[in-house]
Parts: sequence; C-alpha cells; structure tokens
Amino acid sequence: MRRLLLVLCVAVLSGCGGSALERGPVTLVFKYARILGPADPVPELLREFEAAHPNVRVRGEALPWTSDEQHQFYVINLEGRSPGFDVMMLDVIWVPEFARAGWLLDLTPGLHPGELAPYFPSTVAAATDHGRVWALPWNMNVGLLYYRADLLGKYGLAPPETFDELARQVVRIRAGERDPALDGYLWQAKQYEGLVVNVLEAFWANGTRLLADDGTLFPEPGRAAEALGFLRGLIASGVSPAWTPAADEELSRRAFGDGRAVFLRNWPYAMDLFQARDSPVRGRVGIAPLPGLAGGPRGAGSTGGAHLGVSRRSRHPELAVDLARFLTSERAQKAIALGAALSPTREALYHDPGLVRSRPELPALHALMRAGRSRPVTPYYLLLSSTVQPEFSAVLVGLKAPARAIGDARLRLSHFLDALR
Amino acid sequence: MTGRTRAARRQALLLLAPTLVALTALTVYPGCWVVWLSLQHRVPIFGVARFAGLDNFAFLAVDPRFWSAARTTAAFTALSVALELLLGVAVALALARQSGADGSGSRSSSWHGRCRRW
Repeated sequence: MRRLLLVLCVAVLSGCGGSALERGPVTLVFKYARILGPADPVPELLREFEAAHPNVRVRGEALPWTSDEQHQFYVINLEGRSPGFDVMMLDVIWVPEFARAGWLLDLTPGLHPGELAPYFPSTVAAATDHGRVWALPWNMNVGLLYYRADLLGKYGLAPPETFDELARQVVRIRAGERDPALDGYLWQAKQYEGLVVNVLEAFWANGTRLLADDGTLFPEPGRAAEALGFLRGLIASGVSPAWTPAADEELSRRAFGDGRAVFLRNWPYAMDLFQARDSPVRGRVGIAPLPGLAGGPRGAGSTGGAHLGVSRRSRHPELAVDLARFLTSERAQKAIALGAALSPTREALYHDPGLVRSRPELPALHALMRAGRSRPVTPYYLLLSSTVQPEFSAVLVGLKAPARAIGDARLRLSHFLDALR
Repeated sequence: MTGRTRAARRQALLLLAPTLVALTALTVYPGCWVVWLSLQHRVPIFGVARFAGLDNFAFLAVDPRFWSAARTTAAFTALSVALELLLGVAVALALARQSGADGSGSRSSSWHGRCRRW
C-alpha cells in the first residue's frame, strides 16, 4: 500500500514538473467573436504572428454569439480560475468590471511612453480604471443616422439636424411616396443593451445623463423623463413603427436594407451591408450625426467596440501582451478594416488612402467617432444596464409613465449601488 | 412482539434514510443558505460580502416590481391549485364510478373502499 502511494506521488510530481519544464512550442489561446464579412481576417493575422515567433502557436477560439453569452462565458471561466485562454476580446463596457474583479493583467508597466497616443482618447479612457490601463482598444463603434439619400434628394431635403425636422421629413416623404410599407425612423428598443444605448443618446440630446461624475443617479430626473417620453412619442405618433420595441440592430438593419424605411439609427457595420452588390439600397444611403432635440445640444452617438485584454492567469503573459499589441497594431487594424466591417481605434487609419479607397465613409466616420460619447465607465455597468432596461422598456411599450419609470429605476439602483459604495 | 415492532421500525428508518439525506442536501441546506444570503450585500466577483441585516427586506417592502411579481405569483398559485384540485377530483370520481360500473372483482371494490374512506 505504502509503495503504491509513493508511486502515485512520484507520478503526480513528475506530471507537474513535466508541464513546467515543457520545451515544446508554446500555445497561446485567443478568444474572440467571429467576424462577419467577406472573410475573417483574424486567422491570417494569427499565422503572421506565429511566423514572427517561431516557437509560438496561436489558437483562435470563437466566443458565443451574443454579447450576454460572451459575458457569461468569461465570468464562469475567469471566476473558476480557468487558465484556458491568454488574450481575450472584451466589450468596452466590461473592462472596468473585469479589472476590478482581478481578472486582467495590468498593462501599464509594459507600455512605452506615447504608445496610446494614436488611439481615440475615448477608447483609452474606457480601458482605464484607477489610472491603470487594462486593455488595448481593438475596434470602435459609434451610433449614427443612416438616411435614404435618394428619397431626401427627391424632395429637396438635407439630412435632419433635429428630431422635429426628422419627423417632418418622414411625414412629407411618406405622403409623397404613398407607400404604406415605407416606415419612417428605425431604432432599437428591444429589452437589451441596445435599448440602453438608444435611451442614453436621447438623454444626451436632452442635455442630461444617467450617471453624473460624482456618482449621482439621474441627476436631472425631469429631463430624463422628458427624453423617454419623447422616444415613446416617436412610436405613438407613427414616426417609428409599432414593432420598434422588438427591434434590435439586425432587425432594424434588415428592414432599412430592404428599402422599407427612410431613416435608421445603427452602428457603422451596417454601411458595408447596404453597399453590398445585391443590396436594394446600394448607393442610395448616406450617413449623418444623430439628430438633437430642438434647443438642446447637437446629437451625439454612443461609442462602443471591443478591447483586447490579457488574462491574469495566462502562463505566458509577455507573449500574450505581444499578441494583443500585434493585433491592435496599425498593420493588423488596417487588415481587419479591409477584410471586415469593423472600424479602427487608431485615428490615422481614417485618412489612410489605401483604406479610404475601399471604405469611402471612413473620413466622415472619423468626425462622428470623435464626437461620440461613452456609456458610464463603471465596474457596475452591467448591473446599471440590466436594472434600467425593464423600466425603459415599460415606457416604450406604453405601460408606464416616464416619470414613474425613472423614479422606480432610481430607487432600485440606489438600493443596489449605495450598499456597495 | 415488541422485538418485531422494533425491527420493523428500524427497517422503516433505514428505508427512509436515503430520502431524508437527499432532502436535507437538496432542500434544507440550500434553504438555510438562501436565508443567510438574503441578510447580506454580496457581489461575489468583487469579493463584496457584507452583513446587511434586514436592509434587503426593507427595500422589497417598498419595491413596486416585487409586489407586482408577488401579486402575480399569488394569483397564479391560487388559480392553478384550485383548478388542479377541481379537475383532479372530477377525474378521480369519474374513474371510481367507471371501475364500479364494470364491477370487476375485488380490486375495484378495494378502490371504492379507499375512495369512501377519504
């Protein structure tokens, strides 16, 4: 018996020693969401990284499809201390949460001076928590207004600067077209993260916010309620279709792409699909900043996008940082912007002649990205978002008065957050 | 006689034991754990676990969403239990009458006996 135990011990010990002294090639695992578009440019970039690091293999592994499932995957694996991956793609809203949970490697010590200067300042701010940098910005998004340039041109209209103007244009164009299947303004009000993004944009247009710098929730509840009431009014008045409370990005993108709407609020990825060879709206779509509310500030789109972080449990942190750095480099971001409908986080690329030739909307997009605003940067963002979603949704389907929804959301949030501060 | 009773009781306990253990593991323990959790503010991923006393209950007492959910649950429970009971009794009576009608031997009469006793 004792001999058997001894044998087992030796076997276990040598097993451990074996992996520590491994001399074979090192394998890095990169977790990311497969990229839609003509061809996923990532595998080729990974091969390129391998060619430059002869002893390293990189395996790209797909994340689940939806953002909620991706988040769940990370929480389960990182909380379970799994060292199953080295570099991970992160939705920008998760970075402060993952940093606070201790899951990300602090990248600050390894950064060269000025290394972050070429990035949009807002993307760097989103990667920073407590003055430390936890991720590198990989691709960027901003909410913008798509409009049917052919229809606006036909009636001698310019892209609307305010929502009043937009509503008038919708009425005018629909009266002229006499097409009952033509909708006005499409946006996203299904109960999910996209709803929060759309409501935040309305808050900003009305000169208020969800979370003030000092942590106050709904600093001007009256203005917030006004913005929600305005969004409900778009649906109630028919400027936006009755199915808006079920619309997400893809549903609204497809309806607009089929030529069934005049205006659409969406992210930049949609442009590629509208310009596809078999698209019914090819060559007939323009982009503009989101409209503002009359007398308020100019409309600003919400920013979004993905960052690359390195797992604190990575066995090869230096190589993992190298990989994240390579994938966010100008070279790699250019390849990704060419092969897929993703937009770079490096400002210079928006005026790169080679890139602008195949994506002519990039210079216009640059100004929109610069003017974009970020959602509240806090480790509790997901709690914040999932708490306000049902309240906002109740208003938009017409079940709750805006002021009551804001009051109820504030009550719930302050219970959750005050206890944690 | 007493020896046999004791043996029967021991056997009954032995037969009950697996169920008792399973119930404790699956119901009693999680139940107590949930009560303990309800007295805390917790965010596991940030390592936050603070005793909160009855704070969470005080919040629920004034939370409209909680009361709306509670009302719906209560209405659903009352309605579904009432319906199940009515339908169940109706089916049981119909079955009893049917088995009585075909008058097939001792089994049906024992069914009748049982129904009457309840």
